[in-house]
Amino acid sequence: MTDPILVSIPRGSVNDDSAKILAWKVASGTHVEKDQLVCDVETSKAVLEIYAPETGVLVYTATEGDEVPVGTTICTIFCEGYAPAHLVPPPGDIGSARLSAAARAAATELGVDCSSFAPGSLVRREDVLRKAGKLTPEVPESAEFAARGVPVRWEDLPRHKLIEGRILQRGRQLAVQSSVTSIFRTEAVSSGLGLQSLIVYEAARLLHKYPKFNAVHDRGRIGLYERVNVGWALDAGQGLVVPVIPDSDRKTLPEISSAMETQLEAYLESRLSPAEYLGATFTVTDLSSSGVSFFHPLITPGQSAILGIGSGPEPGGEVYLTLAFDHQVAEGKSAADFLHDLMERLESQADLASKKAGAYCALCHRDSLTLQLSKVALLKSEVPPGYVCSLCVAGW
Amino acid sequence: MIVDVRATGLSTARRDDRSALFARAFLIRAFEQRLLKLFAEDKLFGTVHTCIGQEFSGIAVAAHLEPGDRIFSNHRCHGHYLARTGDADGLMAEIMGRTSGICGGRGGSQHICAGGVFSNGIQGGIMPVAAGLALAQQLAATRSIVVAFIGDGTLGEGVLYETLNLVSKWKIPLVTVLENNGYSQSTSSAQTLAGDIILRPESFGLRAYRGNTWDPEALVSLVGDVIGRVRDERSPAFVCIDTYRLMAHSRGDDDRPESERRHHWEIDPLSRFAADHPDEAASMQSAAETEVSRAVDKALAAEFSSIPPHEIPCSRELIWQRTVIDGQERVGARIYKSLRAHLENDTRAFLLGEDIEAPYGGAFKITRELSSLFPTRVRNTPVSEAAIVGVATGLAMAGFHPVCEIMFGDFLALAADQIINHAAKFQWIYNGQVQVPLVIRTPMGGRRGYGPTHSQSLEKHFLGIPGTRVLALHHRYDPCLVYQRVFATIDRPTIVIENKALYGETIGGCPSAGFWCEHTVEDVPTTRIRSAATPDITVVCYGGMLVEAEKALERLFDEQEIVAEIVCPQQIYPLAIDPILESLKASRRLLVVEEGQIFCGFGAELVAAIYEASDGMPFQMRRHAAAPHPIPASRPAETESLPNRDSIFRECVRMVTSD
Repeated sequence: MTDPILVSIPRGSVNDDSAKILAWKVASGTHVEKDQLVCDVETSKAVLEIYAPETGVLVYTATEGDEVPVGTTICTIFCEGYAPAHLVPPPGDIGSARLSAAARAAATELGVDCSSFAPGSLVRREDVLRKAGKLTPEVPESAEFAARGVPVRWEDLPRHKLIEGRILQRGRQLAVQSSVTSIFRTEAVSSGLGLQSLIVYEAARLLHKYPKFNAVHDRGRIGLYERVNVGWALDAGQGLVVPVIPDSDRKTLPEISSAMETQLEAYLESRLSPAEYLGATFTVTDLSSSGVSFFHPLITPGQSAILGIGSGPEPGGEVYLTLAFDHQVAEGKSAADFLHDLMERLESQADLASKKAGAYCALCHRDSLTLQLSKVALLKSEVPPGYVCSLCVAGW
Repeated sequence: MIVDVRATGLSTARRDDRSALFARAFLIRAFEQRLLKLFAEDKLFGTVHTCIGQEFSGIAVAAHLEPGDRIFSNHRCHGHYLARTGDADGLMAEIMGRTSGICGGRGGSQHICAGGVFSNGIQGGIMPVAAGLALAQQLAATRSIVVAFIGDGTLGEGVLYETLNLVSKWKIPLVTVLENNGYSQSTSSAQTLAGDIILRPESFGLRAYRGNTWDPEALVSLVGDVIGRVRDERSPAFVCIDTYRLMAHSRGDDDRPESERRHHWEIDPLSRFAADHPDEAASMQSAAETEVSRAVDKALAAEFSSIPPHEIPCSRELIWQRTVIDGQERVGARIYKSLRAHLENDTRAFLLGEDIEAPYGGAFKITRELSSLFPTRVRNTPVSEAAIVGVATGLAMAGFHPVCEIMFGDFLALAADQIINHAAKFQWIYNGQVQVPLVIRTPMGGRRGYGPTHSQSLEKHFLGIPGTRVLALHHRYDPCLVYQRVFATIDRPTIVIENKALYGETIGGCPSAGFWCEHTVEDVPTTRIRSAATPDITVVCYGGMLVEAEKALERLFDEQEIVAEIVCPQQIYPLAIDPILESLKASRRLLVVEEGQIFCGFGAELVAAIYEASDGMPFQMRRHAAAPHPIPASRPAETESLPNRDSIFRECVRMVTSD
């Protein structure tokens, strides 16, 4: 007689702290076979499939729509011969809603039906008021945060945004954020994926000289990562994500370019897997194509630095490099030295590249090489003068 | 279980070999004298209690022992050990604190365990433990016996009399040997001993004998008769051996009269033997000194013992599961079923306590008719808490799985020495050679109007003793499941705090709508009572306080719209704080409620542990405990003196609204 098997959302494949039970594929109390698909679970980035680890009778311990912490049991599988004498599956009826005294009084006064609240929930007076439509904007729960006297419509933020906010909030608490910016002149190396992959390539190798920026601070100690995995921020219509290029310091520039291209494609088709976001030790974030020069990127928890790329007033002119870093492990001087070294290396690359100057899109500034890799055509244009790529023509 | 590490090295001087007996005496004396010299040379630390002059009492006993017999001795144990085993090497290394010592250097001079010889440093405390070892032999129907060595000073300790009473009533084959040297440390027995030594055991119905060490052969013969009779009749006996300690109690000044000491040196059997047989004596002396020197050299060459760093428990992944228990049984009935299952499934299970036999079935009716079903293994004891726990300790060391019931938790104080200085320590001080898989069950708690000495929650005085475990059961989980796991995995003294007010509660269930009950998936789970909403405050409690906390929980929401969450561990020492931290990170406020006293209590420990583990997280933490005076008998006054649903409610409201 074996013990029942507890099935939970595995920690290893999810970067989040919790996930949502999207859909059960089998009814509770039914027989399942080993490796049978039993549940779909939604994380901030993807839908994960959960399979039965053994054959037996499956009993839910979480229901559809529940947000459960990773590692929590979502169902139990009772194998052959096990008779759960004392622990039976939770009954379908989990009791009615519980109204506080104040809620009851309000319900009676406003004529709200108590049984209309979700079973097993705790109902406060404000919940009754809300149900009755009596919760006026002057008395919202977040009144202290909104501007006084201005009508406001509240909407729930999407899940991924909530998670993003929580992660960055935590990062702010853990790191002492500071930054330095340097301006890098380059005519020949155009912006877009070409410049970004070049920066990833050079920064990854430069981190060997500046290991403090490929590290993490924890309670008075610095953890120096033994690998360099650069994450690069990507936001092109499907939300902000940071795919990671593992061992970026060991890859050639074409390998890095092609890895980023592959990840971009997968992102656009919404099939980037959660595993692609794990394990970043340093991040590069590029807002130059949006015309931004200065910005202060926020350091991701688990890292000690992040490199932001902005553009100068003219396309193909200056590039603004901002290194935000955790002042608990580094200081302005070493950040400045890092940027200085990075710029030198970029310039030496630029010297090579300028030998093969090419056309570029007047709007997004991506050069013909980069556009070719994305299978985007470059079209001759009158207004603006020069060339425009087909994506910009279509209004992306 | 006892592992006979030195069984093969056993070398008892044969009873009819006079030379061997004297040779052994010379060995013991040379050993003891060398110890005193080593102190003078600054090669020993601590102290020793030499038995110079008393050697023949140990030799006379050891001469008649068989391999299955056991000796339990006291601080003056070297002679007993050497008489039984001849193992000068192991003992010297032990006293010199080396890893090659018989207890790896952990026990030293007074705390030895090898070759079936044990010792401990608390006067009298060894008696019930020795009785427990002997009871195990009686139950196993062997011909083995146990010998306990005490001194005339021990006649002052109460637990000795508890034991003599018990072994006589239960016919346990224990031989108590009292080495009467007329002094207890610096005090003559003329000053402290009332009445007569021999009349004491005789008044308990034991056969008592008297001998002395000045005629060694007569003594050997007398002890042989006594032991032979005990072996045959399987009933206890008492032997008083008059003797004299030629050196100081330990190493200090000896204030005894000079003339008295000189006289005893003259009549000392070894001195007379040397006078009568100088050549034989000289050669025995020389052989003894050689053997002792070799032991010293070996010990000096060995490494000092070191204690491996203790493991810091790493935080584990918590899995919570809803607690849904079918059936409507009460806590008391579930505990009865646990004990019954234990007796049914384990032939080495043994229950002892006051009033536990049928038809009475225990003060709280927990044991019911178990004594009718298992008559040899469920026994009423006299009113002797120290002996109950001590005998159970001895049984446990011999491989049994005893469960003692201490009728009221308040009485646990009577067994404190046995718990703290005996049961909890043996495994460690004897370097892992024994285990003490002992369960002590006792109900704590008030709210029954029993007054100051029958209503307390004294468990905090027994928390934090290394080598033990303390559990506290409640009604929102099945006590049967906990006991099942305890009995299946027990390897150390485990105190289980039950609650008299909870015995009648139905297990399972939950406070009404809006809240549910969960537990961590492990042997002794932590229970959590929670809702779907984020909590405003976390209330931590254990045992009987859960009832009051739940009522406060309901009132907090109903009247104040405050959402509380209760975390209720069932293992309170060692305490895992992960489940509590998890709730606290959501609520940011902690109220820890205990029925005992607040100073240095469970709450103080919990708050300190959370502070250390949470790395500067801003939590609000407060403790709530009983009023700092004894519990009054008058019912309303008692309710006011203990944390209750209203006081818990008030504390929570105060904490939440003070932000």
